[in-house]
Amino acid sequence: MNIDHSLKPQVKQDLLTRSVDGELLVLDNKEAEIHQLNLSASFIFNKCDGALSVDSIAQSLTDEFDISLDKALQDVLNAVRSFSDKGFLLED
Amino acid sequence: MMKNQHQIIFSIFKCIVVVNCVPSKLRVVLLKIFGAMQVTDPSKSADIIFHIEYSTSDTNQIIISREGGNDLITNDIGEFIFLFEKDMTIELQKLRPDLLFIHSAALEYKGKALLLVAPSGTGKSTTSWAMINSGFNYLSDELAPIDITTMSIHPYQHALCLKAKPPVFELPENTLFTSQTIHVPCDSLHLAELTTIKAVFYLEYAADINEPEIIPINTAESAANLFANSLNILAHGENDSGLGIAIKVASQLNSYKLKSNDLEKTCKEVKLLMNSID
Repeated sequence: MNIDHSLKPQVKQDLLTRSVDGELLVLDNKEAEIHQLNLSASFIFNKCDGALSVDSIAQSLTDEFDISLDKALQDVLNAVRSFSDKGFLLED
Repeated sequence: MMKNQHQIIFSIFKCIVVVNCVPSKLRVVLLKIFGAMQVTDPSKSADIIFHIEYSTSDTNQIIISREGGNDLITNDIGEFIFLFEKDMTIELQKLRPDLLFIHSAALEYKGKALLLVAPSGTGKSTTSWAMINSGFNYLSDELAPIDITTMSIHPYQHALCLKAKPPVFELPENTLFTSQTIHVPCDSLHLAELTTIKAVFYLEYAADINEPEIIPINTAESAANLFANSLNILAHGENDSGLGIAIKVASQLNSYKLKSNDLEKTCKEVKLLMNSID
């Protein structure tokens, strides 16, 4: 997957998630794996709906966590790459 | 229930396990390992029935038969214990799907139970052995069945099973040594009864530290760890694969990462912490 600023990442519908104090637990039943996401990764995960671009998610992150846009963009790109590596994202 | 001289009866989580074991040598082994759970006058009929005997063609070969199961065959005492126990505990989990079974040691201190969770071979039993010799009471070193309605933990008091001779505290004379494992019978241990669980420690061996470290972790991390170490989590949630139950249990516990490389200091620190928990 080519991950750049214009990508509109979308998480797979079959992942099971539960929020605990703002942090997401993501259960991948196919891989029999459970993942714990920190607060910012959970925020980004919840924005990966296929409608928002990486740029838009980064803008939301700056609003929510009071960080610079550059830092937010880097965080979103890293998180989306990590989600992709874990198999959380739809490929197309 | 009619009882014969070859029969041993165990009551485990209120399930009755009957073992018809003709060879006296193997009965002695079973009683050393599971004797703390033996009953002589069970209140109900058998839930699981085993037959254990030597093969007629090879007198070194042990055959474990369970009604409804496949025969298990071995000629090694250590493997006999392993195969019998594995089969029995799987059946017990089927009989008690209401309990949440965690792969964990469990100990009691001043009326409060704690779980000691770690992957196999990373020190659960050795740490349990040190803790039992430091004022803690024994619930299990392998299997922690939690009643999620009362947050209490049932004892699973088989003989404490060590992979190697522990670095601290002498083993008692009645210890059973097999080719692979060392078993400390429960009559040499301080035993606890059904106890409310208050804390969970995720144990890590850390060679690079001087003092044990106890680090609080949040509910999400604890729930993920409990989920990963549960043996029957899927029985506890049709819609969410048991994730909700793992969160519910974790949210009611004090959860810690325990980095340890000195058993006696670790016991002391855990004891101090348990004293501070209500």
